[in-house]
Amino acid sequence: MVPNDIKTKTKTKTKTYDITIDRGGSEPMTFTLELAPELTVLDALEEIRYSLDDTLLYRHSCHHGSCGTCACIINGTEALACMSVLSSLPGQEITIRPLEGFPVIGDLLVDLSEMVRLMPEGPCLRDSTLKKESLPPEGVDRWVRFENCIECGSCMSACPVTGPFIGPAPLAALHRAIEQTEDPQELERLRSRAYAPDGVDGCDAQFACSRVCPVKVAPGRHITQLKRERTS
Amino acid sequence: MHDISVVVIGGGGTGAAITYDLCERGLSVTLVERGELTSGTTGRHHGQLHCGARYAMADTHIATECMKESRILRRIAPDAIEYNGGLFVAVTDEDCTHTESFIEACLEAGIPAQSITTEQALAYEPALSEQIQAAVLVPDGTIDPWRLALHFFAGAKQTGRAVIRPYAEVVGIETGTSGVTGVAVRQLITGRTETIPADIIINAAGPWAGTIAQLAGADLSVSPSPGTMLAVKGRLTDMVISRLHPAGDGDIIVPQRELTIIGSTQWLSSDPDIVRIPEGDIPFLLRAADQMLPSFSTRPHHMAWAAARPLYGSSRVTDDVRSLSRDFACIDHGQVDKIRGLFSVVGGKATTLRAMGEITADAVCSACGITAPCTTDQKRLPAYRSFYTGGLYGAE
Ligand SMILES: Cc1cc2nc3c(=O)[nH]c(=O)nc-3n(C[C@H](O)[C@H](O)[C@H](O)COP(=O)(O)OP(=O)(O)OC[C@H]3O[C@@H](n4cnc5c(N)ncnc54)[C@H](O)[C@@H]3O)c2cc1C
Ligand code: SF4
Ligand code: FES
Repeated sequence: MVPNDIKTKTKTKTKTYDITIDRGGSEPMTFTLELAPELTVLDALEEIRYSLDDTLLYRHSCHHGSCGTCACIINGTEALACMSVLSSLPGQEITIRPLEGFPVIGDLLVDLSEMVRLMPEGPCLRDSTLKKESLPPEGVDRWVRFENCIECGSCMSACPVTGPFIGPAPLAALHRAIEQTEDPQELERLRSRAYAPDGVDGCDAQFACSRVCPVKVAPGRHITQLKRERTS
Repeated sequence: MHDISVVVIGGGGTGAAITYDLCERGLSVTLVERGELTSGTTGRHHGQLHCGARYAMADTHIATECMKESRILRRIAPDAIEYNGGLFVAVTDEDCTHTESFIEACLEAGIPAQSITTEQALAYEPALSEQIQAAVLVPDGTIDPWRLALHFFAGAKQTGRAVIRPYAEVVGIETGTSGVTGVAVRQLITGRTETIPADIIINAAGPWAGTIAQLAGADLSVSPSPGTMLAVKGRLTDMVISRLHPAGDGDIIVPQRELTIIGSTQWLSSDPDIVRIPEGDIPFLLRAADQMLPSFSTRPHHMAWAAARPLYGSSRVTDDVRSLSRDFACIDHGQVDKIRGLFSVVGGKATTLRAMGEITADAVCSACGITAPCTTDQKRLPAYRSFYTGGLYGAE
């Protein structure tokens, strides 16, 4: 292993990108920078922070679409910054806004607490979606994987409903919890949350949530199912 | 309750675990992180809950520690772990020559490694290559890096003694004749720079730890050593799949949600802020993955990314340095640089974050004459979502 920064330079030709951060309220800021098109919007934000404006506020953690922290509105649509490859966006002018419907702390930084607080405590794991003949080895109770939802807030931002409504992500999570629970009291509690006046009845069936969800939770489908299961 | 103010620098898993441990022992702690929590190495790691088998042949001590800590994490933070076990598979004749010594080394470290038939391995994981020649079952798993750290932040917050400040960048460390006195912090949200008084400062800045130590005039040689990971779409296995050979590059495949992730590589860089993937890493990783899971490279590519390890290269690893575990160092700068109250924590793994918290808290408590014992291995951590109660971003 040798110190080798040269290895880290990519050979791809760079392009000039105009990245506009539109925080609402204050004047939008536009940054012009040279970037390789295979980089992501998150990479662009990092470049801005380290070379042009070290006060830029944005969220990020995993850089591969698993943590859910980096969602924002890119060219008008909710998306994960870390999964938005520059070359997949039309043109070289990119506008980034913070998610709608959440308190904006600054720039792209929003506080998602309210959404997370509306979600039930669990479950965080589900049965694995891999079909297998074999039972797991001793010591492993069942083949498991994490739930799909990464709590990114995209669906909440895209949802056009303005009336009292807890929103698609909490309802999808409630439905998953209802599907999994075996405790009748817990079931009752979850159902009364889902069917409260600001629950499923708030939904206008526009399915914007399902369209923007980066990990295909399909919250709109969960809400439709909840509506159907109301009397069961 | 103790009248000592502690500032932890760095909001990765290590800083989270140290803060939680100290708060549980009755100290009040302010944690400052220059970006979002876990926006350094922690959020970006490979996500393997290491049972230690990967290290068993090279270092029994590290392997033992991983086994112990992975058991504890499964108990205290089950929501952040997909626990499905792991398989080490021999792909070549040469790999096979390691099988016996590998199992022996695991057993010596207390890891219940068990040789199974290749038919059984394929029954567990049908996506495995039919060419595999031997398989060993081990208790590995998958971590959600962000949510595991959040569990610890939530635990710290629940004590009522932690203040967690993301978007607060340390720009100076203030010292007086009797040691450290405070940390100068630039609050990115308000734009103000302020000094947080501190009797104890813990530098848990991962690959940035050298830069932080410099702010106090301490010499800490830390080189950022990044590695690349590559995810493809689709969950190919439930178990973690590792190549049965002495640890090297591209020999671990970790499933997570609907992704399968191969890692990693290792090189040296001078800057942990922006790490670009070296040319050649992706084809290398694809080839390496295909040897274990032949369909890997046929899956749509999801994303490639890199994260930097802190490589600790002190020329002074002598009695001066409290090398409390061989995998990481907790340095008391009061001893080595005559800067009382400053500690640096370098190295370790996401899997061993709790142990790093315990060992660092032990060192701090002994320096302050506090005798409270560690309890973090006993208590189940609160739900990670409870971190969101009580306000974020200084709004509490
Ligand atoms: C490629 C790779 C793969 C890995 N895979 C695994 C794995 O599968 N399993 C496993 O157990 N471990 C794994 N690890 C190890 C694991 O990622 C690390 O041990 C762990 O994340 C280190 O956490 P940390 O808190 O010490 O450092 P970090 O997470 O880097 O935290 C340090 C923090 O300090 C902050 N900081 C820096 N400067 C300042 C400042 N001036 N002011 C305030 N804050 C500052 C940074 O922003 C950063 O968030 C892997 C590591 C790498 C590199
Ligand atoms: S349902 Fe999808 S869009 Fe909504 S928070 Fe979860 S992951 Fe994000
Ligand atoms: S940084 Fe984790 S989803 Fe984008």
